[in-house]
Amino acid sequence: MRAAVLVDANEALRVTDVGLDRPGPKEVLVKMAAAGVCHSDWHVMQGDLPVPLPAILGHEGAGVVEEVGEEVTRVKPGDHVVLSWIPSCGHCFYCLKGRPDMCDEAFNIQLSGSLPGNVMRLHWDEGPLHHYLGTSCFAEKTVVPDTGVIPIDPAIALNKAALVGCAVTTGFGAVVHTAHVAPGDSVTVIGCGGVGLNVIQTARLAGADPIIAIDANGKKSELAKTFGATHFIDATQSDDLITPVIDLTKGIGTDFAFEVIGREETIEAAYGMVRKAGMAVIIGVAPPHMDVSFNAFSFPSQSKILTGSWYGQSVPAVDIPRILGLYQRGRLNLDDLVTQSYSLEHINDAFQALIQGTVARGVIEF
Amino acid sequence: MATYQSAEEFIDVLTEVADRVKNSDAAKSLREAGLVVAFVYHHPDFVVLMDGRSPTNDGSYMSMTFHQDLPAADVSFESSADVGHQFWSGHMDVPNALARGQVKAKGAITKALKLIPLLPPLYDVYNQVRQNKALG
Ligand SMILES: [Zn+2]
Ligand SMILES: [Zn+2]
Repeated sequence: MRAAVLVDANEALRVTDVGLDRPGPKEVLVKMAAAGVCHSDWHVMQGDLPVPLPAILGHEGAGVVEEVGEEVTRVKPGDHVVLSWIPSCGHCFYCLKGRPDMCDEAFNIQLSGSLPGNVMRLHWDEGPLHHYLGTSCFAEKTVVPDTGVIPIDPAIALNKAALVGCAVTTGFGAVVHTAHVAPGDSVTVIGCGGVGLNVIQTARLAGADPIIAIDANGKKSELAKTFGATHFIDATQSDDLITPVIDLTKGIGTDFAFEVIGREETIEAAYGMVRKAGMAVIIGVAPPHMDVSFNAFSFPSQSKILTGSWYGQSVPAVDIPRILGLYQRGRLNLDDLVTQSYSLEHINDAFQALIQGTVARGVIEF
Repeated sequence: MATYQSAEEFIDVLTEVADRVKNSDAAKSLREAGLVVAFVYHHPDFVVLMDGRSPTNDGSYMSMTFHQDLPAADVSFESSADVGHQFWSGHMDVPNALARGQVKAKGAITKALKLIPLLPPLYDVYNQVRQNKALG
């Protein structure tokens, strides 16, 4: 089958023929229909996020179950599914605590570049070929843990459903699970890519006002407003992002700031623009070696909450069908998220468009 | 839009401000405290040094000089030039700006913060100079 392999950091993806084994116990073989192109994949390609290479990237996908291994009960061949990149184990400390987003086993899979139990189902002529986040969906087919497939209504277009595998769930969950935004709360979103737009539209759904969008690409203004932003700040027009947000929130500061870029300056600005006792939520994935600095006296004296949100702190088996239900009833907009489709053979073009910010979300269609 | 398009533009304003306040009460207090205060600005990048310790040529209380790198100072305030403009124009709540991280301070902060109540006349001078130069 054809797949996009990242051989080494700072290289383009190589679209080539690879081998895929049949699914083992508690594994599912999915024929991919669509896979979104996400910044996290790009970070791996740039060497900013170390994972075992060579690997087949792609973690935001949807497709149809083709074959199931032994002991698989949650899906059967023919089921339409969204892939979850946190195939939580259900029995570690965090899973038992009700925080499957922090599952230890899922983190181990990320580090080892394999499936649970150190199993590898991918191979090619040039030696070992790693899995990525238990998904590896930049391929015509993939084998994933059964905990990493979420069955969905087959009436939903799979190229829309794919985005719920990462961007939509991450943005939705940050607002709903991490921040608990309430009607009338002010929300500021730094970064208007695929995840940021979903923070914006979920904030709108939660009744937030104002919703201030910030991006360094002025062209994102219209898109941000389509998804519910009430104001747009072009980050290139001011070195200081805090002052304009303070001005737009009656001099108080924003109730919630969501940082969706993963850069030092914007993480520090997110904390700074939040009002006293407000909350800054860091969603953007920074390189592991990066540090940020905050005023220490402000921790007690301003009592802001500074936290992160990983995969929207979601329970994918609950949240993904819930989000798709909101889409089917017109409450969440997935149609305007996909602005460009590509074939697998043109996947590197999709990444160029991603970094140039010319698309909300590019999707590979198989 | 950034307030200043170049370091020269900002320096031009501050040079005139310094000339008009070098014998003010604020400058006198800086001299009495024997403080050297640096403002480190970014976009445009330059450093302002207000020296109340070294003797001055004309016997005034302080000198203001401009640099590319940070010279020795008792206290430094680092921010974007836009935030620097907010400070000089009197539109900044300094403790709040420190808490928000808009200004990062290092060194003898307590001594420097004692001077803040003396600053409003400086703000007026800064705003007047900008007006005269048709900047504000
Ligand atoms: Zn992603
Ligand atoms: Zn677990």
